Amino acid sequence: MKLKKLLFALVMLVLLLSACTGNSQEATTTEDGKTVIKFWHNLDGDNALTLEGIIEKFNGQSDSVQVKPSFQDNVQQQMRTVGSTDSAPTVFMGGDLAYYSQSGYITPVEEMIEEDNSFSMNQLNEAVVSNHSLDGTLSGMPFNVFVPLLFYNTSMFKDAGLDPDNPPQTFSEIQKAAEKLTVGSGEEPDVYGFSIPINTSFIYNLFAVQNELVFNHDNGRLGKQPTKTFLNSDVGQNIYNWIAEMNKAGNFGNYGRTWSNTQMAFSAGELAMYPDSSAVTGIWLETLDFEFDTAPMPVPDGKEWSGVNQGGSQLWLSNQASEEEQKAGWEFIKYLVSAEVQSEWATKTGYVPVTPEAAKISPLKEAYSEDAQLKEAYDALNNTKPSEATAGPSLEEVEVSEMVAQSFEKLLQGESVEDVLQEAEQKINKLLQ
Amino acid sequence: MREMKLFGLGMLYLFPTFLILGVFLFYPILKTVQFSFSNVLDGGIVAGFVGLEHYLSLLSSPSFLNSLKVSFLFVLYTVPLTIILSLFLAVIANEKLKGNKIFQMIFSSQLGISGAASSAILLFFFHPTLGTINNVLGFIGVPRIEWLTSPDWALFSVALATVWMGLSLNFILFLGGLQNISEDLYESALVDGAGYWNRLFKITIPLLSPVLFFVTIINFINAFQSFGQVDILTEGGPSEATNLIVYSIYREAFMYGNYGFASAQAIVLFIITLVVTLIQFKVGERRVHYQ
Repeated sequence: MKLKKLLFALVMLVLLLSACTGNSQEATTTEDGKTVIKFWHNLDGDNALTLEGIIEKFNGQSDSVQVKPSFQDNVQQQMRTVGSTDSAPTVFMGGDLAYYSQSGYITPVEEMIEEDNSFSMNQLNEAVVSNHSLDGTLSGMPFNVFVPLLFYNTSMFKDAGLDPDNPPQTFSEIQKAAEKLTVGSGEEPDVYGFSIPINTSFIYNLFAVQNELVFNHDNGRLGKQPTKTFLNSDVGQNIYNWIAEMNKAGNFGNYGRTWSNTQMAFSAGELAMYPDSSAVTGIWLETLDFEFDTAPMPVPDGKEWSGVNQGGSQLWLSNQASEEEQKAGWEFIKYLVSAEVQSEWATKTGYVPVTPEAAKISPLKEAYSEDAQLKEAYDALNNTKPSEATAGPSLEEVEVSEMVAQSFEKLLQGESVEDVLQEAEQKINKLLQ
Repeated sequence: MREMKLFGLGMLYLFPTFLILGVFLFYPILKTVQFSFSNVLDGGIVAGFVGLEHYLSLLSSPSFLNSLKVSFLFVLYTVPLTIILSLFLAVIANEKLKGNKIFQMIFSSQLGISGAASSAILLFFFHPTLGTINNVLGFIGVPRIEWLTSPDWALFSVALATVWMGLSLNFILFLGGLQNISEDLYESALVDGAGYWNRLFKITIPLLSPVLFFVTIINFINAFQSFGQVDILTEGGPSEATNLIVYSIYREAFMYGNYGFASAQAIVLFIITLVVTLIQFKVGERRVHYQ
């Protein structure tokens, strides 16, 4: 008798386990016939609340689609494992163009745009589209776009006798300003004049700003993957020398790998200038207890300012979803890049709108006339001359980025520019071949 | 016949355990072994057999050899210090004094904080200019230390964090062991005129040796498998100075997508842990006194 009960329990257990793995291919619908789609995003904090507000509005106004959002700490990691299975979400937000474009589990949004008469590519910002296209195709829909800007503490500028309305624009101007802004003696200044978070994107941007490629084969943007880096060129050496000189002079703060440590130093008034993503502008406007301003990324002396890379995430459509779900997903993507939503989104977060119309309607129109710091990012984006160099590298080999970061790290630890760049060049070229 | 029936019944009772272990333990282990000999694509798709290729490239990978070195150093920094400190805390908290319950609670309270939360707090402590530790040191005139930003200090700082995070669990295990030692032994030793140190080294430590042995083994294994604090504090940097094996596995597999190579590292880690544990059993167990 007992045995039977036990057997029964076991059978139930097995059934339960198998039920967990069963995942129907059919699209699910709500009672009133809306198609339910899953959406993964990588935003937390205030930006996530804003996004969820937008999704709620979308669900309220749509009579055919219901979006179920969920936060994923690391979308790329998740997608690597489930991307080509039926557990993949219909729409997801991810920030690696090169990886997702060639992943094989996405439907390029350009296909949807071509089929849809109500949406045209012209509605999107041209600079954004060219920056997010690989080999001439737009595979993911740009959504939260940001550009790097120079952030600086205006009251420190005044204290140091610098004009906050006339921020440094070239390498040598930054160097001079950093020297004046550094407060305190010798090895341990109380305030560092300048710092750059140890992150590959800033090194790439210092190439972009002077319209120089970081890798051959057009930075990997025209269909052919790079085989060689130009990191150890005159351009690269110039950038690394510039950083090394400020570092040796004791005007450059090293806050390590953790980006937020540099931000903390700035917000605590221990750092006068640093480059950061324009996406923090909104947070800084709300939280800093001192005045700050933004300026374009600095350019080497005698070079023309050509533009910056655009960072951020794109919206991707999974090709594992049924046709019905993909259509629903496309409706949702269209809504997210509509002028009204982009206007609200850019105002609340500090991201740059991907739809030019958004800057002409409220609330973004007012925000841009009130807060010059926000507008700076939009200008930097529109002033960027479209080229493979200003669009930045697009590499399938993720490890390269780690190599660049390590070279930057070693530079700050006092190793010579030649050694650091030679080692990095060698390692990266080996990875690329 | 009866034997058979009993055997069947026993198996039936074991079945749920085997089922769960099978799904969450045996299957992943077998998969890891398979991956380590294969070319693996995203989504765990095995694209082909490559034999020992991953293992051979491990031997010539400076990054992995560095990880091995760093991991052994890390074990050396953390294990002895954690054991000595927690044993000390357990011995003093076990003294029959007023208020020792309060200290027992304080010493074990660290268990209530998750590893990730502890690391996040320590991130503030270790900040180069704003950090609590550097500010206190600066107050007494010690120059700033680049806890996490200098390759010479980073591993030590992460080890320090790990020691702090591991103290409480070891403390509780030791305290449990100490309270298991019979009062009679101490009383008769007192009658024989044994002093405090004599009692500590002739009674307490020998009778605690099974716990000590157990704690040593799990500390070794834990140290080899440290990950959370590295991920939050240093991301394996600066210049790979804190790139412990498990972090290296994580980076290869989930950031770079080299699943096969990462699986080979996992297998190597498994073999190292196994060998180290076996050595400890061979060498250590002879000295262990079981009551």
